[in-house]
Amino acid sequence: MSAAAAHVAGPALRGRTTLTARALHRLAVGIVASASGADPREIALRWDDADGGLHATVTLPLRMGTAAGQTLQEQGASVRTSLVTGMAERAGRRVDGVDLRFTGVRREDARRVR
Amino acid sequence: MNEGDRVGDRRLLRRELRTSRATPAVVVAVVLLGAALGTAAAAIWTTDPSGASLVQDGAVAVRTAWEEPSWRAAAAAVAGIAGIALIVLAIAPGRRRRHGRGGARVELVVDDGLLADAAAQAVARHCALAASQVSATVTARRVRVRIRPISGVPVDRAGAADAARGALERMGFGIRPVVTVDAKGVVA
Repeated sequence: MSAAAAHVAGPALRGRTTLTARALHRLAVGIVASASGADPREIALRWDDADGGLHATVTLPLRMGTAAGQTLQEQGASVRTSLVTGMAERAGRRVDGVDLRFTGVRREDARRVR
Repeated sequence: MNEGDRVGDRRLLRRELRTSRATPAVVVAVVLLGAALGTAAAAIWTTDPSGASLVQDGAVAVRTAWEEPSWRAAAAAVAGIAGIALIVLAIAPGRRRRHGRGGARVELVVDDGLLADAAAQAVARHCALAASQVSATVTARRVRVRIRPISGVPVDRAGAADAARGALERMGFGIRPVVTVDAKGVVA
């Protein structure tokens, strides 16, 4: 999954790489899921434009038990930085802001066998 | 190619780049001719006794109308608008939306829309944007390029200006580009 946006068109080959809004959404959900350990189906994410930059609004469940000893602020900060660096590395997009909202708690030991 | 041809070519180029003033000139000439003929007809009629009363009635009607301030204002407004329009037509350059340039052998006349498309296409290619995200308008001396950026992807404004300038210079038109980037971008 390496979708690099071509900032500067190469002199040899013409053409451009387009990332659709849907692709951006799925990519960001994947990044947040792997960073927070939450189920991708429980993550709601919306991209907005903020003065030419990208702004993400993420709603995700809090996962207890995975990050022991971390405060909620630290967990949020790690999700935020991983989303920003992930989007910069994979999609070449600068993310200007990430709003995180934790809704509910998923206990690690209370997971049911499906 | 002698000097006369060259002057003729320049006149031809000018004809292609400026609007013709023949229509307003013809209109003014016809109106003036009509007024002159009307005056002559009225003068001839006044010698005839039966016509004299008719002309006199007409003169009285005009005089009573002139006494009315609203009529007078309306007449002044119409005259003023016509006068201003004629002065503007006489002084304004009457540019057509085209650019032209002389050359060693041929003169070239290009529509502004085509120049704008060329500049927009060059900018879109340089910035790796969709053509729909770049729009350009060409005025007399500059081309305004407007870019709707992709959110989170910085736009190389100087490079875009260079691309537009290069595209136009390749066609031989040194038009200065002015690049503006919209504050609001599109997510994808």
